[in-house]
Amino acid sequence: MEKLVWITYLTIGIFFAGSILAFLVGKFTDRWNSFWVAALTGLTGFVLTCYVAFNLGEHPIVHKFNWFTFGSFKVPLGVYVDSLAVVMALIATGIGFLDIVFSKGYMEDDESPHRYYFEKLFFIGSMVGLVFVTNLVGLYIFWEGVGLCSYLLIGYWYWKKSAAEAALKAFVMTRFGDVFMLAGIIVAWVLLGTIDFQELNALALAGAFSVKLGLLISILIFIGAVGKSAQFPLFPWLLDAMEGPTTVSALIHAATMVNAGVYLVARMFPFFDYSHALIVVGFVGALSAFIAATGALAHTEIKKILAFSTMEHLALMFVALGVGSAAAGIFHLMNHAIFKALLFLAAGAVIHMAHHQKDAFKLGGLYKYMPQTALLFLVGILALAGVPPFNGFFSKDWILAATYEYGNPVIFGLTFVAAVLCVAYGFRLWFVVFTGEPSEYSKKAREAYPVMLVPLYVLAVLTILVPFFKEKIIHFLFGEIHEPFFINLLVATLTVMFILFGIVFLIYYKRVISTAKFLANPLGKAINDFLYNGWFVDAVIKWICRHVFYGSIAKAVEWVDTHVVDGAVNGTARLSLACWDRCRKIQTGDVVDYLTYFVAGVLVLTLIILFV
Amino acid sequence: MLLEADVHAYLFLSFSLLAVGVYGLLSRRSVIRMLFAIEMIINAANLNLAVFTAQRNVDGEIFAFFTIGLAALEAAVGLAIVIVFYKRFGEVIPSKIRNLRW
Repeated sequence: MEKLVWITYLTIGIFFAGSILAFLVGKFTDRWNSFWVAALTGLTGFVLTCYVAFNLGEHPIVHKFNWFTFGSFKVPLGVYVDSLAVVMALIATGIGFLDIVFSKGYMEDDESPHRYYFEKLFFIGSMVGLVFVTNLVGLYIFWEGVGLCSYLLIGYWYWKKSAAEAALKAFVMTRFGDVFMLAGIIVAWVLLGTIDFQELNALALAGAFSVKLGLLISILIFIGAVGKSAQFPLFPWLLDAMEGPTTVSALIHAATMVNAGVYLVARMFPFFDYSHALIVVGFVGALSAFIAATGALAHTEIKKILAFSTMEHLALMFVALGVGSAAAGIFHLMNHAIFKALLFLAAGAVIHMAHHQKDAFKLGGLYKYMPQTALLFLVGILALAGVPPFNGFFSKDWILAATYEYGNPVIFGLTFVAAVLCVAYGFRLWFVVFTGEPSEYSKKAREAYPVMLVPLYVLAVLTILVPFFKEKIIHFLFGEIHEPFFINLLVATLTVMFILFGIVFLIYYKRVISTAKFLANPLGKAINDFLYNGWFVDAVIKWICRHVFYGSIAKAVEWVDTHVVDGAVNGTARLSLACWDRCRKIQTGDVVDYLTYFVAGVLVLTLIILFV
Repeated sequence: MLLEADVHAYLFLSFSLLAVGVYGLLSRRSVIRMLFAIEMIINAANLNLAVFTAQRNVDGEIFAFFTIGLAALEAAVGLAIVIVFYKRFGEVIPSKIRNLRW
């Protein structure tokens, strides 16, 4: 095997080895020693990924082998590392490393850092594996691996009932999507005979199967992606997932794991394209973006606003893929990972320093107490809102232009509204948290520790640096591509954004317009509740679960269980008892009776031998 | 060498012994008498062995000696059990003792 293949496998393996080592070191020596193991592992993994990235030539790194053979049934596995995979891995390991460092400050009061770092490193390893594997089965394994880590880390504070329930919800809801994805994989395997991404794409490009079959497989796999990337209608778990530590939200539920769905669609882009599934991706994305952006506008908790925002940006990526511009989607994925990690980590610093007060409206005036964090948060907001020259501007503008060029008015309308609303909810959040009168929580806060600030500075610098390398990155990822540009669209976007900024400025900074009147109106309150609860999708899902699944299917299954299965079991017992009750009468306990049976038996046998 | 008719006569005798033994085993109430009946059954078998030995000129009677030895042992052990039986229950009528029943 050549050297690069070895390094690719090593990059995946080092995180799993490091995770176990970190746990053991933390368990048997001082608990916080696990931090050093984790940081060292994270850094090594990042350096290895960088090495792979720099040595990646024109050709991808490919290595395939048979995982196991069962008769004539072979399960293949292997790595396929191209520029897309390596960029995803760089995001996972790079932000993962920064997140590990940040956690040193954020988790300072924690009782079991070794458990935390074990789960975190296991997650990064699974994520790197997910982007490096060459086929759907391998992807599915690591897909469940990141899902497991997500479950464990959301429920990290397992003694909190809300956290445990949120973890369960995230697990079940993403698993719901995964069932469909598994079905898609099986259909592809049985009917197309292959699960390798490149072979599937090659088949699609050659037109080797019917469009309807392709559409079926694409939709099934896309449902899995919808669950993982928290799109409509499987998104409520992402909001509940904010119960976990903020560092977990930053890494898993903003920067890496939730991107897995986008990555999967991008990886199978020619397949989706051939199957006409992209239009579905586009519509789901546009609708999700709109729901999320309006939800973020109404919510009051820092982390949940950011969660809505994450969902919105993932939806924008899906829209970009849906309108056929994979480059815009992946570029936005990268930018979003950077600025959303920055925002979440900065929010983590705020929450940690404000004694775990997560409600934005109970904070306020924090600029005075933690100016550096406030400015870093502002950088994140500017990137999120798509203000030039921060990185969010370039990719979001590109997505809007691509959508505009695509020409579907519904998709474009929803996407445009969602994209410009970033400004509104972003600055609303910043003004509410960092300006105005300091509350009692704010007064106790102080500036974040250096160990927390350094990762934030790195991410903030990246948000400004990435645009300079935009051409290179795009060329590295996709080669020469056409980038649509519409000057009138750009002007319109910036104008609307400026107006929205003005409105938010007046409401939440100058406080000349009050929202109290709007909320006092029953209609206004209803609208607010509607948006606040994410369009009641969660309630609808609960209703469906309770009345359709629980009320009919589960009840029917229960009836069959109690009456048929249990009936058979109890019936056997009752039958045996009845037989036994009659037969035991001959057991008198009298030896002479037994002797009589014996003699009678011998006689009968003798007669049978003699006359039969 | 025994004649065919003599063999039949001996076999009839041995069958009579067996029948009397089985009848005694089932009809007597006392353990001692049941042991007597068992001795008769055993001796019916011994008689068969002796008769066929005489007829066929084979060495079957050797088994008769084993059986006699076994019968003596059985009587010794059986009587010992009867004594223990009597000490424990105060009688030797097995039909009155139904501890074997579940």
